[in-house]
Amino acid sequence: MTSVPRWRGVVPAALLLGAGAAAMAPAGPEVLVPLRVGIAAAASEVYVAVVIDFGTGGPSGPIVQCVQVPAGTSTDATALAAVVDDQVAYANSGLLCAIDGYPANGVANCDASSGQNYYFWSYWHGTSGNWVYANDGPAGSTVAPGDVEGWRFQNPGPANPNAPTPGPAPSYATICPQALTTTTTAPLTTTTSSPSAGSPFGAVSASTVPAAGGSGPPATPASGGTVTPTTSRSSAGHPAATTKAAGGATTSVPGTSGAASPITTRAPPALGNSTRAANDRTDGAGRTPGRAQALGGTAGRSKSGGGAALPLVITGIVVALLGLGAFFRWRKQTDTS
Amino acid sequence: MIELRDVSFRYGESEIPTLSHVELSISEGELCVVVGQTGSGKSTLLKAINGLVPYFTGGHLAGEVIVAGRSTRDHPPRELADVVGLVGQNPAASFVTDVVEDELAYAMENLGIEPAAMRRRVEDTLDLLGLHELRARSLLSLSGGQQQRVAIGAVLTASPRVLVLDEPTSALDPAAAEEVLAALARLVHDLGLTVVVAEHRLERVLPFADRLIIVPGDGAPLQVGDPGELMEHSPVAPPIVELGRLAGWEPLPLSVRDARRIAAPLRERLATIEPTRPGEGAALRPGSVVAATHRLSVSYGELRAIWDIDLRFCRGEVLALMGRNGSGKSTLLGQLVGLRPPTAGTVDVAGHDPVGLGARKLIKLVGLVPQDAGLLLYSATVGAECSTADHDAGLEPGTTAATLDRVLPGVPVGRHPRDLSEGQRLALALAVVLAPAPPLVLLDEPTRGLDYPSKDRLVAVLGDLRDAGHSVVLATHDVELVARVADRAIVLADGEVVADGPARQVVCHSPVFAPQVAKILAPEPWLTVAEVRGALEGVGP
Amino acid sequence: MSRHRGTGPSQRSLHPLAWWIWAAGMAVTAIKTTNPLLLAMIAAVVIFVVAARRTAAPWSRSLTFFLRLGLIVIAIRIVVEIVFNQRLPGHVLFVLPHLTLPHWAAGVYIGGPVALEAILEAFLDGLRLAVILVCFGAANSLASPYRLLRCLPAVLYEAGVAVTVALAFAPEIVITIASVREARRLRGRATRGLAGLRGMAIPVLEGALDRSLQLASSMDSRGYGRRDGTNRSTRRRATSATVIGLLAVVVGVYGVLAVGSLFGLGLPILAAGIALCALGLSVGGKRTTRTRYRPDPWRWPEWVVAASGLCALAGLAAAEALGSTSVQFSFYPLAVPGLPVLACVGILVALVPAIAAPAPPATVGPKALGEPATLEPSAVAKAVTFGAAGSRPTVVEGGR
Repeated sequence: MTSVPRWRGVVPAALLLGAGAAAMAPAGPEVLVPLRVGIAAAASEVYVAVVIDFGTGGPSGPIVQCVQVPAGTSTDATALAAVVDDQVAYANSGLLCAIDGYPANGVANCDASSGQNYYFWSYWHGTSGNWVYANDGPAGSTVAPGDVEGWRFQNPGPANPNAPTPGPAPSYATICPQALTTTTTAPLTTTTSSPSAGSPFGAVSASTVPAAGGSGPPATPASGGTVTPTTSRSSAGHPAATTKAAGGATTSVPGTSGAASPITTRAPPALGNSTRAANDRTDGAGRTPGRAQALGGTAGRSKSGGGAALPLVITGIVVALLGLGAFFRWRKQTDTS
Repeated sequence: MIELRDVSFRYGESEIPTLSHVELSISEGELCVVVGQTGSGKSTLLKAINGLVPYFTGGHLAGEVIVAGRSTRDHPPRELADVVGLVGQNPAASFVTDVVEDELAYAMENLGIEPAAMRRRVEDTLDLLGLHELRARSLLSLSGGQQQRVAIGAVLTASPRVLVLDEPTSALDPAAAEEVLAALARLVHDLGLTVVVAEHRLERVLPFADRLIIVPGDGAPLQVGDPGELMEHSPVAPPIVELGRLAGWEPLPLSVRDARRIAAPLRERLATIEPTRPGEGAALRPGSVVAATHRLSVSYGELRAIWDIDLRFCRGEVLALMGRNGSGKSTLLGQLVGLRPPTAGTVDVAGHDPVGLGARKLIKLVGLVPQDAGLLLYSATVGAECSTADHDAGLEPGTTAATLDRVLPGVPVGRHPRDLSEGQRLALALAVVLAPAPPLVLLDEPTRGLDYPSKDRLVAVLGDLRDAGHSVVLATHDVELVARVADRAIVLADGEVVADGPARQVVCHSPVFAPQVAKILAPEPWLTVAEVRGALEGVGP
Repeated sequence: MSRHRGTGPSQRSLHPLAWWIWAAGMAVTAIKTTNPLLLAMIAAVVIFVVAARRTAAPWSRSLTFFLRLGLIVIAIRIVVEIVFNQRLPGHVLFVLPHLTLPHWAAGVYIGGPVALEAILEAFLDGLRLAVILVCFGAANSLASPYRLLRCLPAVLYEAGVAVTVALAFAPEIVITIASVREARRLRGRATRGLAGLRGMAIPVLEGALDRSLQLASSMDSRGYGRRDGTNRSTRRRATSATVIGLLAVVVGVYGVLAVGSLFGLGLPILAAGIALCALGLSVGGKRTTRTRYRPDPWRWPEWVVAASGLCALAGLAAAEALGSTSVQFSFYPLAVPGLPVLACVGILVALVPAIAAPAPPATVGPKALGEPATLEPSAVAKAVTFGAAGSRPTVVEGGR
């Protein structure tokens, strides 16, 4: 064995690494790069069909609703929040734990991976006319006209994310008839406010928008790596009016063209508690299916400004001192041994 | 103190008894030396004293062995630990702990001796064996001699009355061997211990022996008696005894000091004769250079093994590499076969650098028989070993078997190499190495564990190699071997060459490396009894 | 060389258990936090103490091995996160080609956009594991395994001996393998590949078997295994109670540390295991006839060292109890980690062993001025050439 320990490259490397990480952090997450650069919808407001199925033993039947959300910046998570008035709970890791307060212990048991506390909300795409298990999270891509998102609560039991699908049929025309009837596009006055620091979903806009819609062929969502099958649309111009209530569930259909109910959307806040379950991020690949799809964002907890750098500086100094001391001491020991 | 009453022993599978009707009585305070060829039952006899035979080795023991009043019939070895201490052949393999002090205390811990007494005994043992400076050293970092002394100390702390040692000095250089033997002698004379030692190299132990036990082997009766008397007629004898017989000295001297007192007339007779060895003249005109090193240095990190060595190895010459353990002999041999690249300098073997040489080509140029010859052998039978050796070297099938027959006839072909005796194993390894007839032949400590007949055989083989034109390099500290066969001698110390010249010159006047004959007939430079015999017969009527 | 008692109390080795308690305290602190700053500080403190108090024994280098292992763990974790990313949103750094998986593999994602937060989270995860490994390596470096095994209670003595012998054999096997490989080269045979492996295995195993037989006979001759008067069934009961108790302790510790598993049974199982252990040890240790030679004393340095390790844990627990939010930290959303002061102070207290523990003994053997060091090579550093029977390496030494 050589007398010079070969690990001595580790200490400078570690210091460099620490310095690099420290340098990166204060940059601040100002700009969000959207995951999917979709073709801008003809309208700047988009109708999204949202289906929430509470499963067996839920508080109510399925919610089938059409919401209008700003185009270009809204995601399925935005739409979901709009449907249930922000009653969406996420864990700190970003997992969606409860919708509309169901299940009651959703957040506390969010990281359970087996046993009777193992239940989850599964996320589906219905844009193709069939329910397809989603391969990404609801915040993964921006919405486009014709999007149908589905949520199904899976009860404790066999953890098959593929079954069952949400009850109501994924028919965009049925759920969002108003999207196919309006033809005009009114220019929007949108005010975009700067994103709250720390929210990765940036662009929060609160705007009052006139009803807008488009009957033109809806934009085909560009796949930013997602596997949404090519959409087969029901023909535009489908006569509106009848909204089928699937399964006899009550549906609420937002008002059609005309008075636009202002829909304020904002990034789904985190309602989770501050203690982060220590083990819920261990395995990416081995993650139990279905859990990883649901994601929102967590409200920013970071401090902004110069106060953020102080702990880093202190730690950097301490680690550097100890590292250098250890390094020289080690060398001295090896020389004399 | 030790009594063997009609003891017979045979191992489970064999029908031939190893010991047969042995009657032996060793009294207190004696230093007994047990002699015999390998496989003759020496080790069995020693282990029977301790009880390892038959409790550990298995087999059938008839008769009774009584040590200090306890019979091994009723007491297994662990219950005899406070009466008999056994030190095996390889002390390093018997260490249980990591530090010298703990090793010394291990036996006492097993015996349940109270801590204060343990402390005292450890200190006493450290002083007795001169280990005080080493008390906190790691066992792995000790030299061979130090390890041997620690192994002796480890059994000594239990305060046994009998000490049994199986070839304690075989791995040691002459100076370390002297130390160990002196320590044993002190134990006998100061403490009154009974010591039983098995040893091949009689020349080292004979001066200390009070009694000699010759084990002929194959169940033949033991010969027990006074060393001087037994040596008169013993077939195996150290050089001093042979010289005494040749010169007709009465009584036969067993130590160099006694011999020198009697040797004055012999010295006068030989004063005018020039000592020569057959073939020595030819060796002084060496043949072409087979290998050479130029400013060779090898270091392991901070540790420097060889430093700045310039050597030449010529055909038709036997070169002896001597030096204490750890002086760099094995490293130098390793460099000649290219085991690792040197830190500085070059090595040249028949025009090639051995490090980059392919293995097949290498074995045709240089062959090395390592210290543990068994490392070279890994087939299941001797015959398989020979055929794989033929195959590896690309030789005619049967070449290696023929070489083996030349080196040592009568090696059973179907036996597993590990079951062979030391001499047979060495012969097999030699045959494997010599079959491709490499011009440079290296041997690392070949005579360790060899009895006298095997050594004679080896000397003959090496002489044949030299006459055939090979260059032979022997790394050894067996000075008698060097005296018999070496033409040139090099002494290494701390990795540097401190002496280089004809063997006679280098060896004769060194107090450490001189053979017995040289010590007795000093200042005349006589090396072996054969030389003296040749001179006397030449001069005589 | 692990111990030198010559020149006074300031030159002894610390009781190995004290080092292990200290390292265990640091490791548990690392398990309980996810703050990268705290983790970095734990690692730095541990490494500093090792550098200050390690000896020249062969095992003192094990920390470097564990450091390297920790870095490998971090690298693997990050690579796995990149390949099997969860498509969580964030600052996308680059996009890997996406791989479609059949529906039965739903939930497993390969490829796709890789977010900075995901990589940082993976780094944090790996860092935690690496720090735990470093703590373990520090305990290995500082505490002699032989001394640790000698601390074992009498009931587990035989198991301790087996482990000690294995510890001694391992470097021997390494040396034997090297010798056998050189021998094969001398026979003109392959030393690499499957054929090489097969040819080397037999001589190595044979040598190991020979050596173990010699060791067994030597131990037998020195009184190993003397009967102590207890009957066999009592001994067996005591040993099994101890072993089961130890297993229960392990399970209980896992239950306590891993939140949410074992349905809260961690603590009861831990308590039951400790009780079983104590029962087994007391019953088994009563009538042993072995004595101990100069056992390591437990004095105030040992108390201080053990307490300082537990101090780090206490500081962390206090910080959490007082509601500090930065003990558990997540890179979702991207933020700068805070530094909980109490936990930080607790960790820095664990630096105390660097001065409180007795200084390691000086190197044995004087070195002549101007000569290169030729004394005291470690077992592996020696010339691995053909050693004596049993493949001992020849020692290069200046003077006997």
